[in-house]
This record gives sequence, structure tokens and C-alpha cells, in this order.
Amino acid sequence: MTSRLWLLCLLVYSLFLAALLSFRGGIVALILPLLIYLTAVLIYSPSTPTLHAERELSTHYVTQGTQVMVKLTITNQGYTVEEALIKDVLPGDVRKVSGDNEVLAMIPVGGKVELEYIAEGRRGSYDFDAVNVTVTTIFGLIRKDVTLSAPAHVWFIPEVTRLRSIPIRPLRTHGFSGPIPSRRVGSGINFFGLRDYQPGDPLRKINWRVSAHYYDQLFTNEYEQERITDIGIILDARFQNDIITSQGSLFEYMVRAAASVADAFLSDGDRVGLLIYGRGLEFTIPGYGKIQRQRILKALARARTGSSYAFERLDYLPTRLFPAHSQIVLISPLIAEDIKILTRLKACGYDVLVICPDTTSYEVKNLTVGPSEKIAMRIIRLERALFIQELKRMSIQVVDWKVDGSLDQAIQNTVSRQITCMRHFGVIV
Amino acid sequence: MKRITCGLFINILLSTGFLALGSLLKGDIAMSVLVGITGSLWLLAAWRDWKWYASLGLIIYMVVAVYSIISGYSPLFSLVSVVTALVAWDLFDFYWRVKRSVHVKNLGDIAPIHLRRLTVISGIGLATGGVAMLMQFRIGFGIVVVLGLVAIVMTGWVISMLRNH
Repeated sequence: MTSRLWLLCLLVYSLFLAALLSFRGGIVALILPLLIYLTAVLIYSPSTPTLHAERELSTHYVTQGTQVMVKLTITNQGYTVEEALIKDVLPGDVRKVSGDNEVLAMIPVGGKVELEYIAEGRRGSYDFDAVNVTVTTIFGLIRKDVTLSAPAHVWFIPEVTRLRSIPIRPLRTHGFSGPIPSRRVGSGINFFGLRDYQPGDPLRKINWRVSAHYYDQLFTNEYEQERITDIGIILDARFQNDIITSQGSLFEYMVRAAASVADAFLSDGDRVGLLIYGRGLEFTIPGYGKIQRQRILKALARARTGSSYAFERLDYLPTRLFPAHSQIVLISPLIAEDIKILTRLKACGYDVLVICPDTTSYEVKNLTVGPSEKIAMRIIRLERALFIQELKRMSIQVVDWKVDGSLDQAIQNTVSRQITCMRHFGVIV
Repeated sequence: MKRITCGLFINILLSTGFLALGSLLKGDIAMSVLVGITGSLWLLAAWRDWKWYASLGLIIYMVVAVYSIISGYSPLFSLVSVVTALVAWDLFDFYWRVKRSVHVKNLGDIAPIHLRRLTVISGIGLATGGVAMLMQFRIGFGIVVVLGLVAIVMTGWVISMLRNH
């Protein structure tokens, strides 16, 4: 019952009372049109409609910011619905870009009403389901609300930036060929060392320049095997490490970085796993290929920052989730206390690469910088530089990434330079 | 939609006109002016989309119609005014529902059906009311008892409905 029906009933009742009190038959005559109107409303009062909703999405898996076409078809399988207000409920952070998700229509028996609109959403996983239908009488005095179900699911995955192959040198590699030098002799393209010539060695492998120094000896070039490895990506989703400004959250950049890094390693054929550390532990078991890429992107789509007393620090990072001696990529703005766990990881034999977004430059973008802020910034930057220095001293590679800049460039600058240094000092060949 | 809007404005004007005319014929200028102001405000409300005013307008018109009958003005004017006010109130709501919806499909089907039904029902209401008035319906003791019983039953019903609400 609507408020209008209440009003009408109240008017009829009041007129009755007025007629009764004043003994005027004319007032009773005034009631008659209202009573006839009310009777018509009751005659045409709607029963529960038999409607069926079906939903089609142009795609179920898209990058955030990409538009999705939603098509909703309501079919009437019962009596003629004279006035139905159909409203498709948009889930969570999905918003309508164009078209209509609401319509007022008359649906004849067997008839259809179609709604088409374009929606886009923020990173996440969303369930479309409820369609609210309000059926009213032709006079709009009695309404019936029905919720139809038209389920569909859509993933808005994080944006992936194509990165060049990341030149890492983990201690352990797998048996399959890949892009990572394995510190073992085998068929590869990088020079690894020399050995005495043995019968059967192909002639093209003989190092003639070295052999020329000896009278009766030949030397053969050895090459380094290139293999794939295990990569464990750890995304720091602790709420206290996130910085939220008017332009957005730093965590979004970190998610994008995780997606890009995972994509780069998977493209190289490596086995990649993901751990989201924040309100809990969300782990994606390591795997290869396109399916694993999809799994990781879906996990990242769902990733949210959170706080938990247990996971306030990285102390409970379950290192056993990743194979021993594998490469760990930690994406975190880091806090001073994290150095302990990084030392522990290194001591366990993992190769650690930290992608550390520069929080200062991100935060300062939206601030008015005065003299005191400038001094504060210098102090924070110095602290950060010392912190990074300390990590580097422990052979932890740290990519100091300004989120506005290119991640690819930052990784290549840091990792390639470190490998050149290692080669220079003879740590690797 | 144009027909609905036209119908709405015409019915407000008719309702106001008949009620004001009824008062004016009996020399009650103050009442005609009051009705005129109420009607003008209703027209303004229809133009400015003040949804709340339609119900207020209907209540005012009902009260004035009852007052006119009690004061001995021509009941026919009151009856026509009440019927047209009811039509205006209904059309205002229909207009509002259509306007509020972002998108309307088959408006060409919905609006004529609504108008047709409303015309038939208001016509029947007007005719029945007219006949009742022509019959010079007088309320005797028996009718008062019946109406009293109806009033008691309705009061109980309203109270129980309000409780359930």
C-alpha cells in the first residue's frame, strides 16, 4: 500500500464522519467518486508477476577502466504487467557510463523488455545479480516489489605494464630451459669458462685464441645453461603501509607492479606464486603459463589492504611457502622493522628483490611544500637512503621506484647494474 | 506525455474554477479567492514538480467542497470539483512517475490506457454522484446507525492497519 492509498482511505473515512455529523446527503454523494476510484484500484491490483530475467555481459574478464556492455532481458511469462519499474542493481564499485539501467515499461504476456548499458569498475571481482522490479496498478496506488535474479560475474583485473625480461640470478633453477643463467655448464649462449679439449667436442666450440698460446693443447669454450626458476611475489597489503591521498592509494600502484612483475616472469616461463600479506595470508600456489597468469591477476583483483594484529609486521611471513633458494620479489614501501625479516629470508638462502615505491615523493605531490616540509623531506629521504643502503649491504636488491616513473626502467637500472657489479667483482661469471 | 500534462492543467483549472464559482455564486468572495490561490499554487506545483503539493491540494479541495455543501452552496459544483481534483491528483502522480524514470518504454501504450481508464472511472463517479444528488438523498436515523457502524468498523480497521505498519 502506498501513502496515496492511505490518504484516499482517510479522505473517504473523514467524509463519512462529516456526513454523519452534519446529516448532509450531499457529502455522501462526494464520497461516491472516491469509492469508485478505490474499487477500480482494488480490481486492477497486481498479483505477483511471473517475470524472468537474463543477463549477458560483453566480457567477464577485463582490465580495470575497460567498459563492459551489460544486456538485461526481462521476459513476462504471466499476465500483462501494465506498469513495471525495472531497476538493475549495480554491484559495489561498478558505475554506469552510458545507457539505462532503469526503465518504466509495460510488458505484455510473452513480451520482453531489454536494458542495455555500459558499465565500468574499479579493480575487483563483482557479482551482478539483483534486478528490482516494482509493479504498480494503473493508478499507482498499490505496488508490488519483486527482486529477480540474473547472476553474472565480472573481473576487473589490474592493469599490466609490459616489462622487459628481469635479469635475476637466483641460486637454484629448474631443469627446463628459460632465460635465467643457472651457474652451470650446458648449452647456452653466455660464455661460462674454458676446459681442455676432449675428443668429440665440436670444432666451433674450440677457443682458438687461447689454444694459440699453447703448443700441444686445445681449449673448448663452456657455456652457461639458461633455465627457469621459482619466483615468489609477496605483496605487502598492510593497511599502515598504504598511503591514501586525494589522487588515490599507493596500494593500487603496488598491485599494478605485482601484476606487471608476475606477467614478466610468467612470460619468461618461470614458475610464479603470489602471497598477499595484510589482513591475512592470501596465497596463490606457484604455477606456470597463462592459467597461472589469470589466477594471479584474479588474486590481485581481489587484493585489499587490511590490518591484523598478527600481521602488523612481516615477522609471520611464511617463508616455507616458496621453494628454498628461489627468488623472492617483495613489493612493499617497507618500514624499519622489516629489515629483520629480510635478513632472515636472505639467511634462508632466498634471493630477495625488493620493489620499494618511494612514499615520500608520492605523498609530497599533494602537499604545499614550505621550508619546514623541505627539511622534513630531506630527513625522510636520508633515512630511506640509509635503509636502502643497509639492505644492499646484505645483497638484497632494492628497486627504488618513483610511482610516477617507469617501473621497467627502475628495475632494469637497479638489477642490471647490480649484475654488472657482480660480474665485475667475480661473484658471477 | 503532452496529453497527460494538458489533462493535468485542465483538471486543476476546472476543479479550481468550479469550486470558486460555487462560492462566488453565493457571494463568498473570500472563499473564492482562497480557492483561487490554492489552485494557482497547484498549477505552480505542477510546473515546478512539487510532488507533495498534489495531496495537500486534494485535501484542501475536499475540505472546501464539504464546507460548501454544509454552507448550502450548489453541491453540483462541489461534486465536479472533487472529481476533477481527484483526476488532477492522479495525473500528477502519473506524470511524476513517468518523469522520475530515466527511461520509459511503451509510453505510447501506457499513457492512453491510463487516460482511458481514468476518464471512464471519473465519468462513472461523476454520474453516480450526480444521480445521488438528484435523488435528494437524505440521511435518516436508520442510515445514521448504519453509517455509524461502518465508521466504527473502519476505525478499528484503520487502527489495526496502523499497528501492523
